Amino acid sequence: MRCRTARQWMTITLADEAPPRARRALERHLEGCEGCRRERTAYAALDRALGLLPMEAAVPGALERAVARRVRAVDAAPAARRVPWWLGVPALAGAAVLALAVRGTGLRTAGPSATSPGQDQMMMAVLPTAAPATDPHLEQRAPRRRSPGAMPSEPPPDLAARPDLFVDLPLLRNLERLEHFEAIQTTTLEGQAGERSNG
Amino acid sequence: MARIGPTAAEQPLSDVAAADPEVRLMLAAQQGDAEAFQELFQRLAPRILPYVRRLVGSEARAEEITQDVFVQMYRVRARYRPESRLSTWVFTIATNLCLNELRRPERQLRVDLADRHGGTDDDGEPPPLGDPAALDPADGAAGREMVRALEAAVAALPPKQRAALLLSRIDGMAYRDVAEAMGTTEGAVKALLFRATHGLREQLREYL
Repeated sequence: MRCRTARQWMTITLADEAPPRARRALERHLEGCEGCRRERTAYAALDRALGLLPMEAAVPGALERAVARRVRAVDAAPAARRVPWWLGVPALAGAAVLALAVRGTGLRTAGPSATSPGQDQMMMAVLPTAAPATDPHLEQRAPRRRSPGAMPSEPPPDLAARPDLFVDLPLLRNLERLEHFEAIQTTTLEGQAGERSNG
Repeated sequence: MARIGPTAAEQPLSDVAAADPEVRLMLAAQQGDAEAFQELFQRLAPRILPYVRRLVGSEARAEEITQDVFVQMYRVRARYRPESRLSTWVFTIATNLCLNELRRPERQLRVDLADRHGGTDDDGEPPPLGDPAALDPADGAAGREMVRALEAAVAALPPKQRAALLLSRIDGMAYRDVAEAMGTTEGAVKALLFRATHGLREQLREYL
């Protein structure tokens, strides 16, 4: 047995995991190798020191209470809410595929705009929060995260008292783009008001 | 009607599992016994918490992950099969959660455990790790210093070596149990342990 092999077996032997044959081979090597005998003494001291590391500790009461609370929540969770989060990924992918298919058919909602009308429709399909509430098709697919009705019509009082805070908002600089966005929803290339793409 | 198979409560226990009172508690918890699960927590958490603490290196995160271990254990309790000791199964969950935590790119391991109580004992608080009272009184300050150095050296080991070393020191965990907890082979565990102890030996040369 060589010294490197002997040192590999030292740790295993100290843990009583070495088979008898390996133990005998190690002992024979140690009889003739002072360097490895010193190493075994050092490994034995290390083994004793590792045994002094406490492997148990007091558990805070708050931790036990937190676990109890979370376990009760597991039991209380309704079955419908236990749908894995990753099921939403195929739904989102499906919406994206549908939007690409819509673009591919050449449907247009266009009015003059800096962005292409197809892109606006794709964005509306993938990001249902931007969809107008009156479009029943998009409304069916839109998850109920936000709706225009939930937006406050007035700023909070503390902000309303400070109109100076709103002076340099990027929103105000791009207000005209918002007007065009509104136009996209209600006109076609022919300028006929009221017609709307079904996305 | 074809017999599908026995449930976990019905199937005969292996010799190891039959000798393990924690297995019986787990089987009771599978049947809905809340007190059995609470008792399991009280038996296992004192071993899980310091293991997780040393593996992830953060006291706050260790408590969160320890919670996760038991919640996960509760969620998947129906999947437990009494083929080996329960503690091996629980440490498998703990090891996976810890190694996932350590793989997070924003995670930076802080060697704060050994340094946190690096002062003298006159702060009035017993340190949670490396308890000087566990040392031979004759070792005194030198022994305490060595234990602190050992804690720091263990914390500096690569995660898998650290996990293998800590698991191998937990009472009753044979190499095959360590391999099962880490999802690897006994040969790989032996290699990890050799590298870990060799690394510690080099770090603590002045003390050994």
